[in-house]
Order: sequence, then structure tokens, then C-alpha cells
Amino acid sequence: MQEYRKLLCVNKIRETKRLIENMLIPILSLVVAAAVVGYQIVINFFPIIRKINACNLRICYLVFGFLILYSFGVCFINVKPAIIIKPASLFFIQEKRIRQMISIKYIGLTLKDIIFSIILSACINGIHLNRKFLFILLIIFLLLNTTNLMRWKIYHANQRRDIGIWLLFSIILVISLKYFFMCIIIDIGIWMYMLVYDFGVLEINALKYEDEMQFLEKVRIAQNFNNTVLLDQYAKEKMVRYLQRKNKVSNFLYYFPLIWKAQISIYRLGRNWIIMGMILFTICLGIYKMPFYWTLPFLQQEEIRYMLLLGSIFAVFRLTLRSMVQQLDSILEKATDGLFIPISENRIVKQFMVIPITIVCGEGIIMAFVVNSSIAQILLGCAILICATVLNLWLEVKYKNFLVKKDFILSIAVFLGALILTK
Amino acid sequence: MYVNVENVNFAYDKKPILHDINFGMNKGEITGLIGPNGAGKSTMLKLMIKKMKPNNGKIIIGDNDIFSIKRENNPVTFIPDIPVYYEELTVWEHLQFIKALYPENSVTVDSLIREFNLNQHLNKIPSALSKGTLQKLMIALALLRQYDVLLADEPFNGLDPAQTYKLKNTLKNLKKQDKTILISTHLLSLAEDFCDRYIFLYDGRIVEQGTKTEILQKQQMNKETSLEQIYMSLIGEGEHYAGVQKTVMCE
Repeated sequence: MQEYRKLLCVNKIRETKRLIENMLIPILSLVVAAAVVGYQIVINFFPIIRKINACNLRICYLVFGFLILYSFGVCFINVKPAIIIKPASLFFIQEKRIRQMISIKYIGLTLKDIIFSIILSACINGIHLNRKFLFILLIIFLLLNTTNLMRWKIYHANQRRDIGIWLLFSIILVISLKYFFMCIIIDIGIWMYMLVYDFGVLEINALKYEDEMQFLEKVRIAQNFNNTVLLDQYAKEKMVRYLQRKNKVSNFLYYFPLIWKAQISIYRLGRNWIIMGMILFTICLGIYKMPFYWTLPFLQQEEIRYMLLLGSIFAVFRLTLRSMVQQLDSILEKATDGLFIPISENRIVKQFMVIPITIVCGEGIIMAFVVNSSIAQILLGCAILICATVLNLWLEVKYKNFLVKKDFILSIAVFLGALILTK
Repeated sequence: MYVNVENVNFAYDKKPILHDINFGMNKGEITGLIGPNGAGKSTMLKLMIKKMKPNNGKIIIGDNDIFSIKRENNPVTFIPDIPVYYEELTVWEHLQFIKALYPENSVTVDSLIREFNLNQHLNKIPSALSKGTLQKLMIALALLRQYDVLLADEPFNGLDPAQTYKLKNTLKNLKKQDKTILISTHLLSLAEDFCDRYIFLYDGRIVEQGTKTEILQKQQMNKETSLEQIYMSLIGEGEHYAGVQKTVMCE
């Protein structure tokens, strides 16, 4: 064995050892879970597959549909390299050997595709080594493997015009059960073309690939050491890493720069919280309006349902406000470090209150229609939440320490106030 | 003097960092803040950007104490030593955001992108940039602001020779525009190229300040003495050398 391969093996062993040392309990849990799932599959799923006597067309087209979607997703939506190589290898090993490594990894990928194809064709056709089984196996394998080759090409050459090949493959997959041999021949032709192109013609986009591999390596190291702080930071970084190029700004930026910044930041980093709040609000709205839920003992009283609804509005309000406060905090903190903001405190508060107030008022209007509350009550509720927003943001700018200590008490007081005054 | 630092003292966690700092800077002048690691250079700059408050003493810009100047009238821009950026915004969005905050500044985003070769990196987030490119972004952001005083903490860190040359030229142009510039640096030969005045900081104290000629006269050194040699002499590591220089001068 050549020296560099020996070193790579030693490195892999060390890395695995470190991973096991640092993540022993999660790995053990995973092994136990895998064993349970594997056992269940062998006991329950295997006999079902054995009972399948002929090709099930419904399952067949379902699997094909899923594979077409998967292929589209990895080639045109979330394009990631199919082959992963350590960044250190990219730096220290010469190009010819890197190409050898890529070829070896490709063989590994092909083996995976073969195994996956066997499983899928067994699900469709049962375990019968007949012509149909082999045909389905071949066609699934060709799709999976060509998808891998295509995403490798698209990743490095940044070409999206291969959508034609994907379309052709998808059509072939749909008609393949009817025109057997013709489809296989076309599929093999495309696969061979991609193979020759990827390993003979394609130039690797070294800068992009190295950058991506470095990032993956950072994440892997953080995972190996179970460093949750770093993992959290990388998760944030990953969210904004693959942004689409967009070099246009609306005039909105020049009128309301802080809102522009806040909406981008919340969309990229904090939208999950707001979506969660919205889902909670929808569920509580459903509980309030649909008699189906009222059979549950604790939901029989209207007051409790109303409180839940109000609580969910309050949750959306808090989560939105929390996202805004985080943004405000980040801007103010960075301003003290040198990323100055030449805007007065009052204007900062004014700009930051636009989004939460819009959401609160929107909710208020929905509630007015759903709950049939009087407009005065809704206005009162909205007014309380608007005042709370302004107070919260103002305290964040002026007396941050006070807010850190008393935020929870303030929130409860506002919630109870809204509850008492609106009902 | 446009900027005046008067009797500034600062202690962190009861440990004194800066003692009786007094200096001034004129408009259209580049001042080099020079000193070894831990001398208090970065702390001085942090006081000047209001990151921290001095225990006593005043920092005056124009006629106002900096702590009485409102954030919307802040005449200072800053190139930090440790990059400060928004993690979620791309390079291009950073530039546009800062430009939107300072529309009155005539410097355009496009001109800065060209000047600092940022074109290839516009769609990247700052954490994906190399050290040099990140430094270029910090400089570009600082130049996009409306300011009278430019403070820079090790601005040449990570820059390649071409970018160093460009930054030097930019600083010289800013000087012509009557900006007041204070640069903290370790690169003495670079500082010697474009600084008008020097402040030598050692162990939290100013050990010498003035133009190079004034310092040479005070230290009784000859005209050919480089800034590096002055520095070594001032921090006490070049006593023998300084002695030789003084002898030469007497002769």
C-alpha cells in the first residue's frame, strides 16, 4: 500500500476512535435503534416482500415518481457534491491521485446505488430473479447513478441545462415498462455519456469544492467533539451559505434600512420560531371553532378555549417580538464594536416595531372575524400588545439590563391584562 | 487640534491599562499609534469609539465630548482589528445596507467593489471569506460612512502587497480631503511611509509623540534613524544603539 493511503487509513481510524470516545452514548443509542428497526424489518417487512408474486404497477410508479423527484431535488434544487474528500487531502495530494481517489469513491457510490436498486426492485417485484426484476433493477440503478454523475457535473460546471437529460430520463422511466429494450439502450447511452464526461472532460471547480469540503470538515470535527456551541454556529452559517445571487435592492432599503435588514435576518435565521407560532395559532383557532375538539374534557369550557386562543396570539406576538429583539440586540451590540448605526434611538424603536405590530394587528383582525368579539375589545387587545411592543423595544435600547431581569414578569402582566380586558 | 485626548485613564477590572494619555490630532493629518502588544493601543481606540468609557479624562472631537455626541451625528468611522459583521448578510448586502445608512457620502458601492476587488465575493457571507478579503470588507464598510475621523486598528493585517499599496493611497487621499486619521499598527516601515505624526505607547503610557523630526530632536538622534530604531530605543531594547546614534550626532 502506498504511503499516503496508509496515512489516510490511520487518519480514518483515529477519527473514528475519537468519534466513538466523544459520542459513545448517542452512538450506542443509534446502534440499539438500528438493531430494533432492522429486526422489525426482517420480521415484518421481509415476509411481505416474499409474498409479492408479480410486479406491482402501483408501487412501481410510486417508486419511480419518488426517484424522479429525488433526482430533480439533488440536481437542481439542493446541489451538493456526491463525493466527499477531506480538505487536507485536496491540499496535499497531487491532482492525479485526487482523481484516483474520486474514482474509488465513485465505485463505493455505485455499490450503494446497486444495493438500493436491489432493495427497491425487490419491493416492486418481490424476490424473484426473473427478467422483470433485473430490468427494474437496471433501470433504477441507471437513474440513481446517472443522478449522481449529473449532480457532480452540475456542481462543478454550474450548468443547469442538464435539465433536458433529467426530463428525458423521467420520460423514459415512465414509459419503460412498455418499451423495454429501447429505454434500456437510451438509458445506458446517457449513463455512459455522463460517465465519460465526468471522468474525462469535466474540470473540477477546485475553489468551490475546497471551500465546501472545508466547511463540511469543520462541522464534522465539531460533531466528533460534540461541541454544541460550534455546531449551533455552523447551523446558522449553513442556513445562509447557499444564498441565490441577488444583486438588486428595492427602494425600501433606502427608506427603512433597519426593517430591510431585520426582515432578511429573520427570514434567514429566525423564521422557524415565527412559523411555529403561526402553526400554534392555527391549531388553537381550530380548537376554538371546531366542535370536534370540544369533546375533550378540558376543552369543554369556552373560557378555556378562549384562553388558549389568546395564549396562542400572545405566543406569536412573543416569538415575533423575540426575533425582533434579537435583531435589535445584534445591531446595537455590533454598533458598539464599530459597525455604527447613525440612527437615533427613537427612530430605531419606530422602525423595529413595524413588523410585530403588523402581525399583532393582522391577528387581531382574524380574531375579530372568528371569535365575534366586539371591535372595541379587539382594539383594546391590540392596543395593549402594541404598547407592550413599544415598551419592550424601548427598554431594549435604553435599559437592556432591566429587560433581561424583568422581561418574563412584563410578559405575564401584559398577557393577564389582555385576558381580563378583552373577556 | 480637531481631536483632543485629555488626561485619559482607564482600568479594567481594577488593573490600570492606560495612564494619563494626552494627545491631539489635526485635520488632514495621519497619526500612527505605535507600541508593542499589550501597550494599550486597541484599548485607546475602543475608548475613542465609545465601546468603553474612560475612568477619567476627556476625548473631544471638534468641540464636543464624544460621549455627548448623538449616534446619528457620530463623526467617527472605524476599521476594527477583529472583524465585526452581520453573520446572515452577504458582502453585497453589507455594502448596500451601510450605504443606505449613509446616503450623503459620495463614495459609491460600485467604486469600492472595484477598488478592493470584491466582485467575486459579493454573494458570500463574511464567515466564508478569507482573512484578507474580510479585512477589505471592513475597510470598505468604514469608507462608506460619513465621517471626519477615521480610526483603524491594524488595517494592513492580512492584506496582500497590492491591497496594502491601494490602502496607503486611499489614506493619503483621505488626508487631502481633510480627514483626521489615527492608525494603530505594528508595521513601522509602512507607518513611516505615510504617517505625519507618531504616538509611541508603552505599558499604557505615552513615551513619546510628535513628528519624526521632533522625536529625533528630543531623542537626540540623527536624521537617518528609522522609525524602527526609534521604537527599539524607546522601549528600551535599543539603548546601546541609541547611544551610538547620540555619539555620532555629537561628533
